[in-house]
Parts: sequence; C-alpha cells; structure tokens
Amino acid sequence: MRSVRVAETAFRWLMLAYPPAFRQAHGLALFELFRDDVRDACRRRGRFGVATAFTRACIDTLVNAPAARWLVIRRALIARLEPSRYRDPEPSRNGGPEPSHFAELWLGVGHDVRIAARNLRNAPTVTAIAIATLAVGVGTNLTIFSMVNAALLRPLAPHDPDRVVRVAGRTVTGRPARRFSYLDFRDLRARSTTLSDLAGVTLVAFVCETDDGTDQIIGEVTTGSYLSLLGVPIARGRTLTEIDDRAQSPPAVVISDHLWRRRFATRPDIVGQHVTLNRVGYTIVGVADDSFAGSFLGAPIDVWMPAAAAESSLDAHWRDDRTRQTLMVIGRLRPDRTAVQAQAELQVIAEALAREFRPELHPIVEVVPATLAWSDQRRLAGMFLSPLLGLVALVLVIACANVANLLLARILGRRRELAVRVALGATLWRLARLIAIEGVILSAAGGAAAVAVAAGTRTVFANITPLPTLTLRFDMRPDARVIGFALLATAATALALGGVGALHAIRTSMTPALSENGAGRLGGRSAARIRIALASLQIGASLMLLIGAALLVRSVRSAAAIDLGFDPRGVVALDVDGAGGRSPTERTAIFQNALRQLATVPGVEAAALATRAPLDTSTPLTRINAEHAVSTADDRSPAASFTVVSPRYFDAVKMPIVAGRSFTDDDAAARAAVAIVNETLARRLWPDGNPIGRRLWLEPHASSEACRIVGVSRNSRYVTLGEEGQGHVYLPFAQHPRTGMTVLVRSTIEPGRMMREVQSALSAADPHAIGFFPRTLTQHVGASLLPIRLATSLASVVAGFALALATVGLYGLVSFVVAERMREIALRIALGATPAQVWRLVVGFGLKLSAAGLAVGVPAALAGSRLLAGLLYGVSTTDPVVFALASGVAVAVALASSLLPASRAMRLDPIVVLKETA
Amino acid sequence: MLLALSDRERHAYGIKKDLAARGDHREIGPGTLYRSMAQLIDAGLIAESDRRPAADLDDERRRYYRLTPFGRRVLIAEARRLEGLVDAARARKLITHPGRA
Repeated sequence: MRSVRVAETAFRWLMLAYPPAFRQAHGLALFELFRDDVRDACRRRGRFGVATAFTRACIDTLVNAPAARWLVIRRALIARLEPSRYRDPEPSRNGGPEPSHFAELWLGVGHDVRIAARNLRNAPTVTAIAIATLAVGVGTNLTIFSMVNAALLRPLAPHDPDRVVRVAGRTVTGRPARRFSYLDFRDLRARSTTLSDLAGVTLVAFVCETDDGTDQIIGEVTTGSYLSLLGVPIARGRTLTEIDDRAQSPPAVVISDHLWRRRFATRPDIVGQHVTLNRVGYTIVGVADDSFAGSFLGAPIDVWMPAAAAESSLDAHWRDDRTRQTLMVIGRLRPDRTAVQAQAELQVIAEALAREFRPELHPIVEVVPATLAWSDQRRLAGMFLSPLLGLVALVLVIACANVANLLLARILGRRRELAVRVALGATLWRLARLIAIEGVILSAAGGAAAVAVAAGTRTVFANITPLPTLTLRFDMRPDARVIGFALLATAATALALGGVGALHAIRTSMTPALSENGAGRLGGRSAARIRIALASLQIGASLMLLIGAALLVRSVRSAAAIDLGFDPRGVVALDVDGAGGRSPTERTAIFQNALRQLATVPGVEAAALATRAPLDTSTPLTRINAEHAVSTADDRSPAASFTVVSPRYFDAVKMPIVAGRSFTDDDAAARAAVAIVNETLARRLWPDGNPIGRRLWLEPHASSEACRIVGVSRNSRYVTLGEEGQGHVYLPFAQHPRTGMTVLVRSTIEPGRMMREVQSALSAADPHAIGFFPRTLTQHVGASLLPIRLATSLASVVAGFALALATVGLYGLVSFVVAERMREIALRIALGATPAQVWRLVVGFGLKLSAAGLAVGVPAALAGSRLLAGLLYGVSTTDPVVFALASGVAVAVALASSLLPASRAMRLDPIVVLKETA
Repeated sequence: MLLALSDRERHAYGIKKDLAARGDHREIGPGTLYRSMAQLIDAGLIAESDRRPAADLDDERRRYYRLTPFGRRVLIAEARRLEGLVDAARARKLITHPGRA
C-alpha cells in the first residue's frame, strides 16, 4: 500500500499542470478518480499495476493539461463575446472552470487597446499635442536624471563594481586626506589581506604632440594593475600591466576612445603608434573602451600611463618621500571580505605605518564604496542637481495636468459614445478602463518620444566647458538606471492620466447623456471641478517654476555684482602642474627665473605665483592655533583656507594689504616663517588686538613651523563665490616651495599674446615646465559661476515652457467654459447685459483660476525655494520682489488667456444662440 | 458519456466504469474524462446534479452529473443519426446482423 500512497502524492503534484480554475472545479474528483483507479490496479496486479496506472495518469495529464488550459481561456472568451451565457438558465454550480481572472483581463485589455488606439488615431491633433507635451515633460526629467546618474550614481569600476572600494584618509584633525604617498600605498598593498589588489592613480595634464598638431590633454598616471583591477574593457590592443610599470620597461600608454577618434582619425593600426606626451615619446599599446572615463568625475581622461613611465611628469621625490601624497587609492575586496573588514585592517596598517614612519600624521583610514564621485563632489553636484530635479518634476506635473485636461475635454466630447456603451451593457469599470488605457497609450508614446528628447539634450550637458581649454566629459548615456527611471516616470504619468481619465469617465457616464442633445450642460459639476483644479494646479506649478527661475536670474545678477575683493580684469593665469622630474629647489629656481623674465616684458605690471588662483573650489583648508587667541565658542581651532603665494601676488590680483606689509624677497627660506591673514581671520582670532607680530600654528601640510603674522589683507572670495566670512592665510612661496603652481600675470597686453609670453618664459626657464589651462582670471572666476548659470538657463527655458503650457491650458478651459455657458450668456445679453458685463464675467473666471493658482503656488514656492538656497547669491529664497513679479506674470497670463474667449462671448448673437440651443 | 448518464445520475467514477463496461473506452484517463466532461458542461449537454442518491449510497465528496434536457435531445439526435447510418450500411449489405460486421 505504500506504493499507492507514493503514487497518490506524486499525482497531487502532477495535478499542478492543470490551470487553477480547472483544478478548483475538478481537482478533488480528478484525484479521487485516480485513487480509485490506482487502488483497483494495486488489488489486481500489485506494484506493477500501480506503476502502470501512474504512467497512464502521467500521459493522460500531459495530453489533457494543455487542453484544459485552452478550455479555460475559451470559456473566458465565450463569456466575453456572449455575456448571455453568464445568465444561463441552468447555471452549473461549480459546473465548469471559472473564467480565470488573468485570461479575462487580458482578452478585455487587448480589445480596449485596439479601441483606444483607434480613438487616438481619429484625433491626430490632440494626440500629437498630448504626446509632444508629455515628451517634453518626461524628457526634461530624463535629462536631469541622466545628469544625476552621471554625477552621483555611476560606479567607478566597469567590472563587478560592488567589490571595488576607494581607500581614503583623514588626518587627526578630521581633514580629508584622499591621497597617499607612493610608499604608504606600497606598504598598504603589501600588508593588506582583505583586498585582493590595490592600485593608485593621479591626474596629470599633458601636452600631447602627434603628427597633426599639439594640444593639452588630461591623463591618469596609474600603478601597474589599475586598469585590470577595475576591469576596464579594452577596445583595441592590450591593457597596462605590472610589467609596464617597471623602470626598465619601454614607455607605454593606453589612450581613450575619444583621443583615438579626435587625434588619430580612428586609424585601425593605432596599436604600436607613437605619441609624445610632455616631450617624452610613448608607444600606444591599447585603446580603452569608451564606457570607461577614469576615476575623476567629469575629467576628460584621454590617456593612461604607468607611473614608472611618468617620472618626467611627476615631481622628483614622489616615490621616496612619504610627505608627497600623490596617489588616490582604490582596491578590490576579496570575494569573502567586506568593506568594514577592509577598513578595520587598513586602519591597523595605517597606524603601524604612522608609528614607524610619520608619527605626526597618523591618518584615519576610510574604505568607501567606489562611486565615480567623492562625497563632497556628490554634495556639490547634489546642491546643483536637486533643485533642478524639483523644477523638472514640476514640468512633468504641468505636462500631466495639461494632457489630463485635454483628455477630459475629449471625454466630454465622447459623452454620447460612452453613454451608448453603457446602454449596451458595458460596466463602469470597463468604461473607466478604456479611458485609462488611452492615458496609458499616450504616456507610453510620450515616454518613447521623451527618450528621443533626452538623447538630444544629452549632447548639450554631457560636455560642459568651464574654461576655453577644458571641456568636461560626463557619461550621460542611458544605462539600466536611466531606463528604469524613464519607465518609472512614464508609469507615473500613465497612472496620473489613466486615473484622472478613468475617474472622470465614471462620473461622466453616470450623467444621463443620451437624453441630451449633444450640447447644453456638459459633464456635470464634478467634471468642471476636476478641470478647474487641474488648471489651478498648472498655474500654481508654473508660478513655482517662474519664481525659481526668477530667483536664479536675480542671483546671477547679484553674483556678477559681488565684491570679489580682487580685480580679475587684465590678469592671465596658467597652471604649471607637471613637476618635470625636478627637485623642489630646482623648481623654485625655475619659477623664479620665469617670473624675473616675465617682469621684463613691456606691459607687464606684476607677475606672481600662487598655489591656486583666487576663487578656486580646490583651495585647501587647515586648522589654526593662534598665540593669545580668544577661544571660539565651540572650543575647536578654527579652519581657514590657505594659499602659498610669491611676493607680487597682491599686486597681480590687486588685493590691498590693509595693515602691516606684503611679502618681499626678504621672506626667504632661511628667514623666520611669516604669514599674512585676511581681515576675517584676524578679527576672529584677536578681536581686540593687533594681529601683527602674533604667531600662528597650522597643520603640517600647510606649514610645519609657527608663522609670525606680518600683514592683514582685505577680505576676498577664496573658495566659492557664495562663501561668507571665510578665514584665509597666505604663506610665502620661498618658505613653502611647491611643485605645482599657478602663474598669474597682470598686464596691459592682449590675453592671448600674454599667455604665449608666459609659455615661452616657462620653457626658457625649463623645457619641462609647461603652462596648462591658459585662461584669463575673468574666465576663471566665471567658471565658479558655471553651475548657477547652467541652472539659470535651464530653469528659464523650463519656466518659459511651463508658462506657455499653462497659457494654452487656461485658454482651453476658459473657452470651454464659455462654450458651456453659451446659452446662459446669450440669455444675459438678451436680458440687457452690456458687453462689458459679459467681458467681466469671462475674464473674472480666468482671474479666479489664477487666484486659485496663486493660493496653491505661492505657499508651495515658499516651501520649495529653500531647495535653491545652495545656488543663490545675495538673494533671499523668499525675495518679495521675485514673488510679486512672478505672481504678476501669472495673473497677466490668466488675463491674456481669457481675453480671446471673453471677446467671443461679447460678440455672441443671443438670437442665433438661443434658437440653436432651444 | 451522454449514454452513461442517460439512465441515471452518476459520478465520474461511475461514468468511467460504465464506459469500461460497454467496452469501448476501457482505460480512459482521469484527465481525459474530466476535460471531456468540462467540454460537455460548456456545451450545456450535461450539468452537475443537485440531487443525491440515498444517503447510505452517497459518498459526500463525490459530485454527481446528470444529462440536461438539451443533452438528452442531442443524445437522441446522435443516436438517430447513428441509427440512420447503420440502416444505410445495412441497406447496402455492408452488415447483416446487428453486432456483426
């Protein structure tokens, strides 16, 4: 009997092959039939009989299960086409398979899709307008999301990105120290067991010479396993290996797909070609796939060079000096290890290294998932992008409201058709579904068109040019995340449109439309309410956009008027980053020679060096301890930005020294360390005393000795344009020689010629000294305004578009209401209403709508404009002028869009109207 | 199957046994049986019965089926059609006695 039980259990499983409806109706009986059968067989022929019966049942199921499935579907079909069968006078109680919900849904939906598509085709203008509106609505969202994706979400590694981490440091003072010295990197790599490999990378600018000319490019100098650790796909040739990163190996580079196209015209024999970078010859061994753009967000990386081959582009002691923090470090986790474990391990190693070699630094190690952007880049990008996301979300709302209104108008026009459908037995649910499906089809078409829109706008934003010689490169191509977002946005649109449409269809079909005469009272009051609500929503959302755009425009204007504290006009700037393989002493001499030569050029007023040109977001910070300082409220040493400058710097940028003196050539390496602070810092440290002669201690990366203050400079802008009360310290170049400096020259010479003069002075001093990113200081300052300028132009375009949509939507609604109340208006005219009274009636309606829009929009804008705070300079987020102006514009738009319908209403001939509608 | 239900209501196993007894479907599988029955129900030829045999004969869980009036008409029509066919065969001397080819 055991075999019988086994067969019975097996048969229960087998029965799962039948459709659920069939199982529900017959499952039990089916099973009992089998049980009778198998027991019978067991009695007669024992186990053999059971086996035979079971085999037969298997074959039987195999044949009948598909047939039963078809039966269920066919039943649903019949039920749909001949609903009378539902009312069978002899309903079989559980007598047959219930039509499965799935089959039901899908048969009906297919039918409805066909009807909806036909309806949409029959109204091509409305359909085209709706799709175009949605395309712009979804497309702008897609564009901004692609930017968010490129800037914030993209992982660093092309291959298995979840296992790749960035290793970053922090000093004891909490200052992020992202770079490690080569020696630290080497020791971390040798001692780590949680990471299967570590690689280091740094950004270097190159002068690239090929057969068809010379220009400046940016490249990554990497340790040997960098490309293979990340899993960078190579389109041609081979990747770089550890062997390329040895001193005796021939100098090899991998170039970007971009460079291959731009400079080598996609020649197929690119592998093995030569390229000269910073005056050294390299062999191209590979071309990287264009999906990889390096480890530095936005940087247009065109070449990857092994560190060993880059000695002439890095400074002389970068490999043997632990204070030269050159490399960003990334690692790949072992399959069985987590980032937390790696962090714990590297922390121990770093502490050991600090004990052994550099007790003063004692870095705190952090291991973070490797996204392309660093946390502070993400914060900056987020500051710029989140308000934009908010703005474009509003555009989508407006687009949806507009299309919904369009759909509603169409539903009203089709009232009779819908009523006929109801009369013929269509359920409300069916009707609602039909309308909802129209909304879904429109959204899908709009979503598809939006992808095209986004593809067009992508090219505008993927290559931003902050400086004439620097075009950033963002990878805005759609990936899974962007596609997912597009689907989500489209689905949300579909839900909104379908929902509103369906709701409305239900309401409309409940009004006795058939008894009416095609015209007359339309849609009922609820319909009017939905439309009025949608129009108010549109005005409100447009108002928000308008306010946002106006705030940004005002902000750009006030940013242009911000007192920089220096005069950028007439100054050119060039970065000398490549250290040319020289020692710091040699570098100092080279720089000083170049400055001396520049000073002799006629027309030059002042030539100077600085670690950063003023107003540079990468200006470093340091914590400060000061002699006799008044302790601050939070009892921590204050932070300040600092710049190392040469003596004529304050003349070159025209930044006045308000107390004490400027740096002179006497502030040499051998003399006592000196510093200049700005007014803010002086006031903060010594609110009631003279700062001159006091001593300051900075962090070691700024200055390892105490500095005596010799002067106070006027306040200026140092890191960002929007900063307030930034403390700043200047240190003399001669006492703090750096390898990478910016040359700043104030002259009366035309900037292009001046830049060439600087270049030739540098090459005269040293053939390896090259000035990168030549720019005027005005352009340099402009670059820091780039995000807000971009946001402003985008917001303006978007607000203009929204306003146009709102105008059209409002016009449509007012015209519709006029048509709806034509009889009433005609009656009024017949009873003696003056044209002015009629005009007031119509325009009053438009104004009421705009008032409702203001009631929605102003509070929402007050709440939402806070998002913009990070982008605003010198404008409050609740600027009354902006709010008043924008509200005025919204009212004006309402007025303008009611004028035409109002004049039509005024010209109504009451006799004609009353006759027609009688 | 219609024939099996023509004299009285039966449950599925009863139908199966009746078919087996008449010799033409000795080993009809449960799936085939129920699918065919579902088709007959769809076509309105048979229906599930409300009535039950006497309690002592009844198995609670079993469903009984009956012929609908329409089913009965179809069965009679089919029997007539077959009868006509058999008559025609006999007239052409294809068969002489009932039951022998």
